[in-house]
Amino acid sequence: MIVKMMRKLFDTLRPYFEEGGRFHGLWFLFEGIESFTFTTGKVTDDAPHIRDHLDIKRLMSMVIIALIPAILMGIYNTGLQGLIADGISVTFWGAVFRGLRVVLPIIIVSYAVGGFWEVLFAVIRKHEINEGFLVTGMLFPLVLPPNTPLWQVALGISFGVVIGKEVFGGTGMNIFNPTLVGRAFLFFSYPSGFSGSAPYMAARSVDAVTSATPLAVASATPAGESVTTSLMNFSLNYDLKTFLTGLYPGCIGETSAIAILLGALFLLITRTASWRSMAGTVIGAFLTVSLFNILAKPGSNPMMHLPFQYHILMGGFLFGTVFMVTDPVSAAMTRTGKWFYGLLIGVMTILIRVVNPAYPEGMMLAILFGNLFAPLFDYYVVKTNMKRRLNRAQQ
Amino acid sequence: MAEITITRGFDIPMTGQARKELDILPDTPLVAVLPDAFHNIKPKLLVQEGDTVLAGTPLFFDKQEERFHFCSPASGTIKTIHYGERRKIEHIIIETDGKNKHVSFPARSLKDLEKANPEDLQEDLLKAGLWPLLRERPFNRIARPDKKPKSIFISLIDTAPLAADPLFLIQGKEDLFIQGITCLKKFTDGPVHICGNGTTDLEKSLKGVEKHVFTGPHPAGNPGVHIHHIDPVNRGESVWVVRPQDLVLIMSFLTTGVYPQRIRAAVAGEAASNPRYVEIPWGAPLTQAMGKISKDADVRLIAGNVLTGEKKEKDGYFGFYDTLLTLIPENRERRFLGWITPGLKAFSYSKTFLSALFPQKSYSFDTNRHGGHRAFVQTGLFEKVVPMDIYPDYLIRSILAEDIPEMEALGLYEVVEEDLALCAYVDPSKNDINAIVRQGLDLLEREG
Repeated sequence: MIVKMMRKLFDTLRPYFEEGGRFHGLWFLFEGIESFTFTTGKVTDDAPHIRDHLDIKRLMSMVIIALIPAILMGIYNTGLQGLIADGISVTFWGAVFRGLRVVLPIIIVSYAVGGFWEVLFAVIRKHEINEGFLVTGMLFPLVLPPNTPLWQVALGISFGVVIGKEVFGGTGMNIFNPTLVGRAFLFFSYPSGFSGSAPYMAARSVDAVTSATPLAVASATPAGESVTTSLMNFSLNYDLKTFLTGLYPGCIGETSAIAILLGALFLLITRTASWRSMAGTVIGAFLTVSLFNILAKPGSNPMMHLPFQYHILMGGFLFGTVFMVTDPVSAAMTRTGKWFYGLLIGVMTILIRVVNPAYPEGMMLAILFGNLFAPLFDYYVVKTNMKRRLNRAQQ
Repeated sequence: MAEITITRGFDIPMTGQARKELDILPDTPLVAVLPDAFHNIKPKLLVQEGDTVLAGTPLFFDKQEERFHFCSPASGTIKTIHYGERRKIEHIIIETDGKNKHVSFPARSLKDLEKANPEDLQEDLLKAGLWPLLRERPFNRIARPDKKPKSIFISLIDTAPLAADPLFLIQGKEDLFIQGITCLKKFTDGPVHICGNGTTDLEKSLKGVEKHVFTGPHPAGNPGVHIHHIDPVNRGESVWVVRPQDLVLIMSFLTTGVYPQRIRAAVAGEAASNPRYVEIPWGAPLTQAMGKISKDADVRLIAGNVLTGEKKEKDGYFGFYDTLLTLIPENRERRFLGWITPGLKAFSYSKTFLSALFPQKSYSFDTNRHGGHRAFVQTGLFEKVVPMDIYPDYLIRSILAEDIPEMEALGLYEVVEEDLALCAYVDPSKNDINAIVRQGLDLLEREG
């Protein structure tokens, strides 16, 4: 009944947006909304006469589904940390509502502001609204600390969408992951909120209580002491179990390893994300950590002693590996390229974390660095292929 | 004998496979010849409306290669010549007289054939308009008469969705096929490669050829895939591809001197009322083979398979190369929030539908595009469905950029549309990959 009425509404409105209609300039906005509500009634023009049921909309919604555990855990944890920070007694629903109050506005601002740019460019450039934005708009809030002011959210997503994507020509053409471009922009412009050791505020109105993120604690470990011990001895008792459940201060979606791994499982089962990129990143990190562990001497940088499992569970490593490294547009495209791409990111993340104490979180910069090199890996893979063909011809 | 296992690619499990029964249909009052069936020829008419023709009378020739003749498949009179835009000849319709008269060519005994030199055979085939059954890679064009191919490929398998089984198309005429191979050897200094699944008696009985076994999902049966794995085409080289059913037609002509007037084809697809094999006049109207379809039924008629075939109207005809008619339902239905439905009955190569967990043996397929056109997103899907040492994404991008050296280097000489058709099928951005590949091939043929 309602569906029929909606169908009728679209059919009535359609002529206004079609060629010659009064609002033809907004056709792609109309198309975007209509195709969101109803599947296309279009048939194939020519061969192939049949097409797979999978379209970009479905592909992108798979990523959103994979993010659900991280979103839910993020909301709960944000609320929980807020209650703890305020010294209010913790109840499950109290944490949920508190979390919703903080996280929902960030998500709404991210979608609204980012969506505005997306639609604006689609209308100006006369192309379809790309569903890839649904993912960017959701990833962005999840990589922000919950105390990010809403104006910064708006600024960051604007920068990510416009500079990170649209200036390159839009979806499919961008070199860098738009989410991380936006985050990097905020990170360098307003570093205080991102340093990890800064006051952690779950509610903007409430007084800050200092509670550093694990990476901040780890990198602040004095020489000669064990990072794991200083993590354990920190007021929040950071240990592996904490990292798995994710009930500690950090970026909204990044803390819970279990939630992220559930998402990873879904992405791998549905074959939405590349397992090669993910595996490459983990292996790259593992090799680098192992190398540091072997080289580490008693008096050297304590981060060099930190075992592998801490590295992958702390900070944005898992979230980045599962949801950022696998972004099909900014990653390497060839199978071989994906391995190298992942390896580079894994290696870089650990290098930045261990060697450069100014940036305790290496993942974001490593992925952006990987984005930069992805076309180069592909270039060599494809060049090798060309050379093989050329040699064959000359035989 | 080499055994090659194809792992990339997949079979499209469509309902409506043709039953292996041959339905011999009567002659039809009208047959047609469609110049569009041949890629890149410039037809020049030799007849006009009202002319009397025999089976084997040339109707037109190619202005670029005047030895390419295209003949009437039946005796009768030219009823109409249909012109399309810019006076393009769309089809020539012949009203048959039922007398089956034909132009006479020498009938050759097996001994004659053994001794015959290729030049004579070539001349007869060119004159009789059957030469175009021999096709050349790259580009899938009609074999050039003066250029010896480095090898000849015959594929005994067709893995395309609902494809006509080449072995059933030649059933009962295996002797002609085997003799044909002996004749083909005269046209090349290289080997004749026979590619099959390794299980058939015909394959086992063949001698003096190089036999190869290909197993795995589609496109394991594509000649392009076979050539790529056995004797890849480099710049300046050419190989021939001959379909078994075409070789039988050629041999029937060479041994009898009579232009073959009947062919076999499969009628398949969910919308086909009676999916089976038929024997029909060459150039017959589609209506003869397709059986009853209610007038208001919204059905897509495809000459060929669903991946590469040509869309036809209900009053259309079989083209020169068509040995399959696929009928599938059109689907213009718009489903509410369809992009998020679980999809228990929706086949997808991806694993993003519930059908991945509960696979069925075959699925209903229709012409719905299942999504709007979007910008190219390189999902890595293309690489998974092309079993060649080729990077499809890059090849397609080089075509879009019209970068000829790049197209060559990336292997465009080794593919035709059908080899990348699965890319077009899986593409979530719904781009027209087939058209892009053809555009690249045409450009390369012109300029390369």
